[in-house]
Amino acid sequence: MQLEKGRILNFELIMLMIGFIFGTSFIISPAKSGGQNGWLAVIIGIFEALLIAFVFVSLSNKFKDKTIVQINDLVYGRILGKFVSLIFLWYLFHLALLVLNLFIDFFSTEIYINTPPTVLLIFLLAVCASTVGRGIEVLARCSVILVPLTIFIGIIDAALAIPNMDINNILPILDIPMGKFLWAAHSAAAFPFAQTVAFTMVFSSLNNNKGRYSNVAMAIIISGFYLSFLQLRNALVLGPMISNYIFPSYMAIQTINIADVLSRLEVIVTIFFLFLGFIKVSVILYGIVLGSAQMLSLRSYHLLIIPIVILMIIMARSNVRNFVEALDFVEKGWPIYALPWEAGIPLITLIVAILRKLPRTEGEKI
Amino acid sequence: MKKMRLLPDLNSGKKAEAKQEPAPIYLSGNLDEDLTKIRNILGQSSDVIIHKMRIGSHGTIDAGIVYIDGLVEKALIHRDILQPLMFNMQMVEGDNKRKHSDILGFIQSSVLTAADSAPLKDIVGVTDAVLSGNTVIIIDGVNQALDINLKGWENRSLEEPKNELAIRGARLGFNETLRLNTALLRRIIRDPRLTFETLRVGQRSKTDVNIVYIKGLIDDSLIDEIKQRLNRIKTDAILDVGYIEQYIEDNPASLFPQVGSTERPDVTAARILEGRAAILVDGSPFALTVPMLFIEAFQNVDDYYARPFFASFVRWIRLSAFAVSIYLPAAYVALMSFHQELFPTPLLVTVAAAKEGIPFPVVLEALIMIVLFEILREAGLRLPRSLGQAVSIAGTLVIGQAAVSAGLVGAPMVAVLASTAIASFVAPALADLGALLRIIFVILAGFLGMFGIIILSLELISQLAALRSFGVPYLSPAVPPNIRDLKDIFIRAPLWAMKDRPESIGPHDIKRQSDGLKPGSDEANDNRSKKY
Repeated sequence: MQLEKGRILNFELIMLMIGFIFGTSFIISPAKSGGQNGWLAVIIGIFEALLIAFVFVSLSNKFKDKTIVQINDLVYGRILGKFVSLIFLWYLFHLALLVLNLFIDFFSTEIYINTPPTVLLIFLLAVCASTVGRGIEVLARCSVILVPLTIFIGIIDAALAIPNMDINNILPILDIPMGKFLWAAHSAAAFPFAQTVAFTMVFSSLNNNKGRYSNVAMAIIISGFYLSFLQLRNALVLGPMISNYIFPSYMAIQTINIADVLSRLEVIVTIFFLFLGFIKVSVILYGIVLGSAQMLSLRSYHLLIIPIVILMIIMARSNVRNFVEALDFVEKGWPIYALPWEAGIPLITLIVAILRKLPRTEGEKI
Repeated sequence: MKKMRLLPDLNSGKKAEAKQEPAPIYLSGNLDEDLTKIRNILGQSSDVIIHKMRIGSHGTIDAGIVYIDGLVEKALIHRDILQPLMFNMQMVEGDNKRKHSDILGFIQSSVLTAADSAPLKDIVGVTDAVLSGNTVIIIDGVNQALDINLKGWENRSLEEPKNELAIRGARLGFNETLRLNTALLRRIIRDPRLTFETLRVGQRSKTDVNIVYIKGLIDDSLIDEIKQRLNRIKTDAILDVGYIEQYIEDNPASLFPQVGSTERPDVTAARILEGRAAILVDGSPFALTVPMLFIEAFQNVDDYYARPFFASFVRWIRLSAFAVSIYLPAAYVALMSFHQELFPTPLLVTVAAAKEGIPFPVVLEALIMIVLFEILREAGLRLPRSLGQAVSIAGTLVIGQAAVSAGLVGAPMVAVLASTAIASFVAPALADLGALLRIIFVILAGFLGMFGIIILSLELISQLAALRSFGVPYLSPAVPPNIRDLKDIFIRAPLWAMKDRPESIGPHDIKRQSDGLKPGSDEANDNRSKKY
């Protein structure tokens, strides 16, 4: 039974993945605890992420036209497989809630102070839901339009911020305890890079199965270095106080003032934050509805979109008490909490699959 | 792309159609009987001319001629049919020993001086031919009729297209007569493979619809798809290409136009040469072209007739004008109601001063102005031309001056709306869409500011990414990306550099021209500079 008929190109996958990884990272910095050395921590984080990605990409490579939910069914059998899938879907759902929290709270604390956050939430989820309803192909094409724009704007911002930069702001390099630095690197790997485990729901839609890992690696490396570049920009502008800012990118852009004409660009830049939020939430939502539909053996996933979106709206408002709590969780809790899903379960599944000598050739009963 | 074209096959529809049709009534060979039948079908209308005559040597053969007054060239009927039949036949006939059954063939080949004629067998064929303007001759004792094309009616003369003007292009637009339009295309493309395929659409109007394409250049599945979609139309009348467009588009719920339309033969020819198909409808001076890409709305003939530098620049102007036409009022509303800090301070002071004393919130102000503008535009279109001037003067005074001084709207809003209005005329294919989007954007901007504008933009982008026109993604070649086709999107590459036809449309024959056409690169061209 084929739930998703759309096919995406490798290039579209890379764009989608870059957009996904950028996601929240434009609002809050990855490797925040690294302070002004965050940009180096991100680069170290890339390597860890590549290792993690290698596991889940190898897993999905063994079952080329299957999503992780279908793979679980094959590897663990019907009942245990559904249980593992359910756990995986919970991870996606929790991730979606967290991303929504970060986005909506960013907008409601910085710009829309008087607008009820739920209204923003409903509108954002509505557009995500309508895109998910159109399928992965459309979502991937949207990312091809939106992601290059975002990359371009980030570079322009950095260029405009050059007058405010001071090389002394990032000196001395690596003047923090090694443990703290490595923790920062690991937290960057866990949020956002290793979250690409959500793409195990998307890989099966690729129309070209060659070089899957190199594409994923390319997406991680491009986005990683770009994020590192943004961190560097923020650190150069804001200095050692960078870890005191909740939204460093927003702050760094706020300082731009070219001849009193190009100033207050930050609201314009939030447009691009929103593009990325849209991509990230849509990919996760797509994973959840497709995964649930496959788990429940439904014939179409469209029926599930609205119930799940409503569930998200309700739970996103009660998930955390306030923005600081969400941020704290992302910083301190997530790097540990997410490890089982991002690295653990895919690794176990891969080992079990290898031990059971799966996938077997066609015709053989499992 | 493949999926969309592989919709249910053509044959199943045709079989069902054949079953429904009554068996054809053949001509009996008895002149009076046949003419009565024809008279019964065509009725007693005064414009139907059914004339009996005697032809041949010494007037021995009874014959009838049927045509519709006003659709034929009477002078030609006299010269090419009646005169040969009644006088010349006697001279040619000579020995008068021909078989009776072959008399029709004899008349067709040796007597008539009209070239375009064909035998017909059934009564419905006769009436259809007569109604489409042909002249039919029936001869007593022959169970066939002769269908002669001597169409001729009053035409609007060929004029410069009203809506698509070109600075350097031909001053020639399509006309209401199908045959004239096909001739215009034939004059531009003298390729023997240029094909006009005729279909009849509309059960009462029986409108001639032509699919125009170049065989061997176009993807055959596209032709099949067009034919299938046209054959699906079972309506009573097709009054204009607009009817066809609404029956064959891919997604009727989308705001975006999915079928291209032009009134210029050169544009139509260019699109046919890129591997598209054109659809011409009798009675309409517009040609539809499919598939349509979004970027076509921003391409103009002058882009290709002028040198590439300015053309590329103007394309950017058009794209940004379109963005201005849908975003500017909404952006102003968003800035005024949510993000005042985005105004540079001196401007903010001016704008705030102008807003002082205006009773309405800025959203309402914008909506009032937009609706007023649309009313004005509509009135200007519908009024007799002589009154149009009066309306525009009244409109300018009322909206521009009186509304501001009466304190109903602020002066900045008028400036915003005026720029929007001008910008909206730059891409005429998207003007209707722009008017609707503008209003929705303004309402959302009033509720949610920039956030609302972006959310709706994302929804539009996602709709555009999902849209297809005859199987071709609407946003191609930008998305899904095709690097080689980008030569005619954001820039207009020089003609000698556009070596290939656009791949995204999927022509069979991709090569447009040979390599090395860049002027000045050839040694031989350099002779003159050495000489002087």
